[in-house]
Amino acid sequence: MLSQANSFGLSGLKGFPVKVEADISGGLPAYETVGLPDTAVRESRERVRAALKNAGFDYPSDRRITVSLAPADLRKEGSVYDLPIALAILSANGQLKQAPLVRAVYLGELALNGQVRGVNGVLPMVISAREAGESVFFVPRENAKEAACVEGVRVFPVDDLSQLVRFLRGEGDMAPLPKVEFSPEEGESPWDFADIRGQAAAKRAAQIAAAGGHNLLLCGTPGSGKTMLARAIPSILPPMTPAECMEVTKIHSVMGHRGLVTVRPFRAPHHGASAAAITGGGANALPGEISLAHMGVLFLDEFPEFHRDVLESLRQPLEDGIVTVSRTRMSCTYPASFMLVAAMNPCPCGNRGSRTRQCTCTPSQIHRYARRISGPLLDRIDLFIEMNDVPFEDLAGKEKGEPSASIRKRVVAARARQRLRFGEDSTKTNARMSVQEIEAFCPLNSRCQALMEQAFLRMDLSARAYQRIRKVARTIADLDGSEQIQEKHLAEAIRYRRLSILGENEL
Amino acid sequence: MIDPSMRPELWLHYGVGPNPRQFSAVREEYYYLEEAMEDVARGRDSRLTMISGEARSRLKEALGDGFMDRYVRWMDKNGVNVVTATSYEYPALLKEIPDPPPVLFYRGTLNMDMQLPLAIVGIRRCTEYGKEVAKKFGRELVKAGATVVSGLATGIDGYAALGALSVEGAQDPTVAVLGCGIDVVYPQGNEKLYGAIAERGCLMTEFLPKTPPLPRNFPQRNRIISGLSLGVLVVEAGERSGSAVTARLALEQGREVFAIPGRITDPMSVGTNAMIRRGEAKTVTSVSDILEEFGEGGAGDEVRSVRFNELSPLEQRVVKALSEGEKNEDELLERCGGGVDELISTLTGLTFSGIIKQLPGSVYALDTLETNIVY
Repeated sequence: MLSQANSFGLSGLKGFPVKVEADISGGLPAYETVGLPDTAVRESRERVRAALKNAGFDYPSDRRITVSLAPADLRKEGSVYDLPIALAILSANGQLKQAPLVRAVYLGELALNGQVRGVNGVLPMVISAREAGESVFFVPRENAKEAACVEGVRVFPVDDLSQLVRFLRGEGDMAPLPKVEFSPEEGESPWDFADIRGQAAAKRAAQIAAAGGHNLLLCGTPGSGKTMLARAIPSILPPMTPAECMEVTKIHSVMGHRGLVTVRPFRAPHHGASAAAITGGGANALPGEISLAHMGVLFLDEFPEFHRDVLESLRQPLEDGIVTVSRTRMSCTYPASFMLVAAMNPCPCGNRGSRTRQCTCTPSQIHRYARRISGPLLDRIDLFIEMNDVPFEDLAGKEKGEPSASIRKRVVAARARQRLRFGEDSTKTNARMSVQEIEAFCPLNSRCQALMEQAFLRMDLSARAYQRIRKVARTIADLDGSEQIQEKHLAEAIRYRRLSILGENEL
Repeated sequence: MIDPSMRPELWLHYGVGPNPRQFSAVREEYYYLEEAMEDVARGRDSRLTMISGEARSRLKEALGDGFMDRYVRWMDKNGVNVVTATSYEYPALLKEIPDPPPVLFYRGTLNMDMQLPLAIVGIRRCTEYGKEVAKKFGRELVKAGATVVSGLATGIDGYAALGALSVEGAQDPTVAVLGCGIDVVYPQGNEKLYGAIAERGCLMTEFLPKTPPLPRNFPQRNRIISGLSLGVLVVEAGERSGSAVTARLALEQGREVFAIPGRITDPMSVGTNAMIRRGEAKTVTSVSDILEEFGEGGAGDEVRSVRFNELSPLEQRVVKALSEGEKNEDELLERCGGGVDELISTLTGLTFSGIIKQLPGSVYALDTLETNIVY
């Protein structure tokens, strides 16, 4: 007998409908899965058989079972089809009516005892299914919350197979989950800005970076507090909007996160990471760290130690805010609009510019070290700041700085000004202005022009660096509550373009 | 084109290598080097016992099979010129030293009679201070009509040459004496500077083409640096350094020695401070201290003056704080008050007007080499 159940598959962040068909017929006992299944899908037969048996159902082990996943030409991955396969077999075996199986979408992995386990990527699948006209979903309880945040769907959380079958037979009762709203939260950090003593200029740079979504490079001697400052940045970032939460949750759902993401992500991959781990990849073209850091912070400590190809692969996403991962079988585009915070030592030995320790590097060593970060990549970083170690006696003596909460207020206000500029629903920040927008929103008066000319003369700036300075000046003016970019704003922005290690390549 | 009359000397130099004593010993034995060539060609070496067997076999080898033709053609093709101690184009000052190099290979233009050749030498691993002083003195000495002689190393030598080349349209801005073959760029990464000097100044060496930069070459090279110059300025030198060797050679050759004083705690200034203490070097704090030794007091130092009163109140506080020594942004903030944003934009303004400078690690200092503050 023939039967079918509806399910969904995922390619990148886009879902596609999958019809799970089961046929039970006479002949030699066999179990065949067709429709380009991967290993996890093929292994579902063991889970389905054990789950059906242990949940007390009749499994037709003496007959020929054929399971087909349509469309047959798209690859099916993961354990998400366990539940619909089990239901289709039950229906084909006459233990369940066909009708309910095609009126809803079923997703879930089966445990051998019949319990239903969570799967990856439920949110993007439910969103795509909703767009395709589906409105009733049976999903594992672990995934129910993320599914229920989609507008206009009824989501039934499923605990185990027998509960679901009883409900479908009209014997038991199940309640759909009420619509879940995103409640964005403020980021937390192990450190508050008030805990960082001294480093006033670096804290100021971090504040500007947070306000305008700018990329930041921290360069300083070991122990100067680069890592601490970077890790404190989430504590001054504004909370996400519900729409941003939804987008971020989608990506994290694909990578196995259960539940909602309501705090801006902070990702800190190790410098040994491969290009595929950072930008995304693998046979299934999964998202990488830069997409997981979408709307949040990507912190790359020991920046020059990252592999050259990893660093260069950041260039295009930094510019476009998206990344396209192409593999032989598929090509997926993921959002990757993150704020890059990079940290590096000022020279190989780390002591250059320190007043307490002597640098032992030769100029050519320093030159080679600085060259590990290419010019085009540096051109995409808006703010450079050098940090120096603070002697211990100074640390103890310094009073506490401004707490993160009050810095965050200014950052939120600056972001509000940017929303006025780019439109209320836009997630755009000053850092992402196009050249036309820079012309429109960052006009320079004659005094600023004169200052800019001096900067060109003295600092050997590229055209891209010129635009970066204007964007940063715009953010500084926003923080100051000023409509116009003034000379002082521009002068401060220019300061964040200077990095002494870059001046070491004259010889 | 290399003059055919130089061939016998080039041949002898190829045989004995950069070894002036052996070279002149052979010259004393043979008034006409052509006779020596004939002796070597016929295997009669009774008059050539003063040179090693190895040198004799190299001399023999160089006679055969058109070798000298190829040698000379290679130099013509690569823009390498030769000057010998017997020619009138040989730098006059260099002739006076005890063992002048008999043959010099050079690229660029060689002026036998430079107006005021002055050497600037110092440590490779220089500090920010040394770098700025070397550039400033290189630039200002050339402006005053001098030629900067240096060793094209990283650090002080390179920065001095860079400062010299920054003066546009100058005659003979700089001469670099190499410790390797004329076609070897050392240290790597210096290609740009090497090219600029070959184009606008002069690169020279007594070492045979393709000679690698062996450590023992450099002390020998240093005698040419001081020999070419009327005086030697040591910018920064450590406790045991090549610059100290150059300075000692300069004294032996009867040339002036100058040194830039440094802080007593600074390891890169131990050598220069010691020279001053022992009375070997004259203390130099400005270009005119050097020029007056050669009766060229005319050119003044290039220092702009800025009136303290004309600065804004915050600028005045910053300048006052920095006049007590270099400070980082935190310290300036503590001393001068105001918001961090205001301070940072003020610092940019002061940097652009040349009143202060930024050192590595966000440390600021008064740029006294550029600007003089009048209170």
